[in-house]
Amino acid sequence: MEAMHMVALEIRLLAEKADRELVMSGKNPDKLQAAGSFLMKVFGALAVKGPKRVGALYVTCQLFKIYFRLGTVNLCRSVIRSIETARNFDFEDFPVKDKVTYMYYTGRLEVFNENFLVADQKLTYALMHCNPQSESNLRKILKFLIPVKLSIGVLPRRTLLEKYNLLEYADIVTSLRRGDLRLLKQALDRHEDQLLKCGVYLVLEKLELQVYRRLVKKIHIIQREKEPSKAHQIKLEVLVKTLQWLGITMDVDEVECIMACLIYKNLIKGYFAHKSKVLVLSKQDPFPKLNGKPV
Amino acid sequence: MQGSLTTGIFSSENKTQIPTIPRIAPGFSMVIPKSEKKTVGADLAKKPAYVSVSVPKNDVKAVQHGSDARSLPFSLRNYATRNLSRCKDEAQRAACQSMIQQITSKAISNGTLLTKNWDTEPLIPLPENLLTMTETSSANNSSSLPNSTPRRRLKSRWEPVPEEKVTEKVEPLAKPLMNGNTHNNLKAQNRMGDSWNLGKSLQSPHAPSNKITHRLSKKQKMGSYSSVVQNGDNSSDSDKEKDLTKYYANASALANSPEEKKRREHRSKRFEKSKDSSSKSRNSAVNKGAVAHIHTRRPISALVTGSYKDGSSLAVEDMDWDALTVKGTCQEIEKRYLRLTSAPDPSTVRPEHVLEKALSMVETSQKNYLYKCDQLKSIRQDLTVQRIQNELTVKVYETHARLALQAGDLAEFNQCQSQLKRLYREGNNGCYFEFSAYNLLCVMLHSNNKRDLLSSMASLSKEAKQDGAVKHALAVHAAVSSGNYVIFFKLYKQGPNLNSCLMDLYVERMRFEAIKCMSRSYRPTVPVGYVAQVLGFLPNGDDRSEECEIWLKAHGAVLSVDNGGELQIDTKVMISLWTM
Repeated sequence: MEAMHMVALEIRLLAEKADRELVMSGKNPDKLQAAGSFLMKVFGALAVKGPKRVGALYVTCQLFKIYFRLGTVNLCRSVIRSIETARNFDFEDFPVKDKVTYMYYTGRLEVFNENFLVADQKLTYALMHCNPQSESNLRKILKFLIPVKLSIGVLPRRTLLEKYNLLEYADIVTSLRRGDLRLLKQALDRHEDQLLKCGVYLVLEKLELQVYRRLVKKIHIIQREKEPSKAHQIKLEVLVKTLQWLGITMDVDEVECIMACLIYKNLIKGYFAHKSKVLVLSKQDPFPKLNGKPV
Repeated sequence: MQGSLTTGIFSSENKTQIPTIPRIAPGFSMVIPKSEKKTVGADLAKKPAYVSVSVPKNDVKAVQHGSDARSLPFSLRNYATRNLSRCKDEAQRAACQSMIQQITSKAISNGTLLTKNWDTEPLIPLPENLLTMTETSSANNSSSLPNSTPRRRLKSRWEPVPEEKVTEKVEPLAKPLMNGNTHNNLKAQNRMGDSWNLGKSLQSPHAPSNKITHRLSKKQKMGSYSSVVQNGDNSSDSDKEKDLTKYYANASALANSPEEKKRREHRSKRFEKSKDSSSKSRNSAVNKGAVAHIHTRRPISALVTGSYKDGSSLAVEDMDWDALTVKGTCQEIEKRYLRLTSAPDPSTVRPEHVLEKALSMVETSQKNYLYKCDQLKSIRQDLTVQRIQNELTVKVYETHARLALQAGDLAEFNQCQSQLKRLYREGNNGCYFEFSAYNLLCVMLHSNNKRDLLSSMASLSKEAKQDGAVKHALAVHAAVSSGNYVIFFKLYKQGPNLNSCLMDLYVERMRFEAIKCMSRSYRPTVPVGYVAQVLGFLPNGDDRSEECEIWLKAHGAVLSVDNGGELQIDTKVMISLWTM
């Protein structure tokens, strides 16, 4: 079994190197694709019943790495299907490190498809079972787990970010805490290339609404202190002014729209009275916790 | 890649232990796996189609011609067969037989019967001069010989020693000789990776005088044959070469015709190109006109063969595509689109300057989209056929894409877009940013594929992000992802270029989302006027919102008039309709 592992690994590495060489000499890099299809065949041979099943997951992980590198992620689906639907073999039988790798990659796929709850499950599993010594692996898992958690509403501590050198998320986390929209936009701009490459950029864009919500909440708190009786009514102009102060110019219509969106998505409980242009918050629990439900 | 992989597997199944598999000729690669399975043992000559057919023939011949076959080595029998198969009539055959017998008896007396490598022994020159090798007579010869003969001959010559080896196992005769042979052939095969080199490699150890010893590619193989032919070598070696040349000609040509012969001439003169290219091109120019009309009726393979006229070589990647491309002569500006079913006729293809005029004609024309689309397609076809890939091509595709967008023809637009991507990648200039923006909008609005979107966004350069159209597209993306309908419709109104046309397709969806959002969040009512304004129902300052009313009613909105006389949407009711 180890021999097969070595072979699979070597094939992938060699194919990658070969592709690099081909690209340098200007030819078409198709060796990695060939390696992928070859490993697929190997997987097919292993997936039949029998003692060889155990090795199947390792090959799967190699395949995942190849497909992610190539970008043809849709090919992963067939492999996943065969692993997930096989009743004959117990997922627990596989060696732990294979399981961790498998969960990591499938978690990533779920992030792409925006199934945040499932992604959270898988990536957390990977995180928990991952070897605490291998920091780089932990970092990789966290890189994807953090945006997912942010979407669900769980914020990581700064120390965690520092420990694993994931500081690109630091600003984003701060902006979420403070409701600082400007900071969010800046952070996204600054790290745009990195985040695009990882593929989490789109996830983080969606955090905008959460930042708005935070902002409104803060205004609400301030208003409550000033005028408790009327605290649940927030005038639109106040919001506009706040945003202006943050450096974002938006006209009334746009802000109205954002408020409407927030209410629609259950980030705020209440309603908007168009005539008077006032956002009326519900008396109890106007800002329900996200509670693990993604935006 | 795949072919070699499969043959590798096959070879491992064979017990003949040939380590390297000769490269498969491209045309035959399809045939290999099946016929390999059929033919006995190691059929590694890579002409299995022919081998499988002619194997029985060979056996038959062996039975026929080998009266004392049993006592003679197998290779000698083959040699005899090969010689005899070249004979065309009884007289020749008789002469050949006697010569074979002479040689055999000589060998027996010399004691070299068993040691001589009959596979590489030159074939006996026939008494008649049919197969003398001069350049000019080749044409005549080719016509006189029937098609099957070269094939058979070649089969016997090319029949790889491995096949003999397998049958050797059956024939216990002259085992030591066989082993010696296999050893030689193994070495020879190992040396040459090319299947078409096989025969040559067999010869090379034993025919040092043979000029063809160091060929490495098929192309050069052909050249070697022709060069030998050209040298006017009257030996039987060149005889074989000529046969080979004819064999190839037969394999790839569709018919034996005068054009074919001329083409063969040119083909064999291929490597004299540097000396005679001018005369060749003159010849080919003359020939081209004559055979052009024939060519228009022949499928593409004939066109490929036709390239031989231009003095180009055999391998696809080395073919002289520049000489192969059609140079148009048609001068008409207007031309309808007809799908090509055969090689194009130069007189119907428009050259570049005419195509430019055609493009400007289409741009200024007042006719409808179908006409313009048709014209543009034919312009595109003319450009493709003449392999013109420059800024004119880019302009044509851009024009077509824009027209398609305006007409709502997404399929055509996608076609043009993919071609444009390729052209931009190859470095042609054009409205790159404009079409990047279209690409972004397409990906975000029409496909749910996040990866595509990510890669498109990642591939934007810094300058691209500064461009107005691209910025607009990115802003649309932000609006869509956060569900911000106000911004969406604002952008929709001010879309640069044709961005709005692409957004058109998403407008309906966005409106519906917006209404849902509003009905959830607004209490007690929302004025219709506001909705109309926000959702882009009011074109450019027009204040009437009837369209909006109609739309709302169509979607089940309940409208009522309030105290101030304004039409309102009763949102509470709508909620129950839409949100379950």
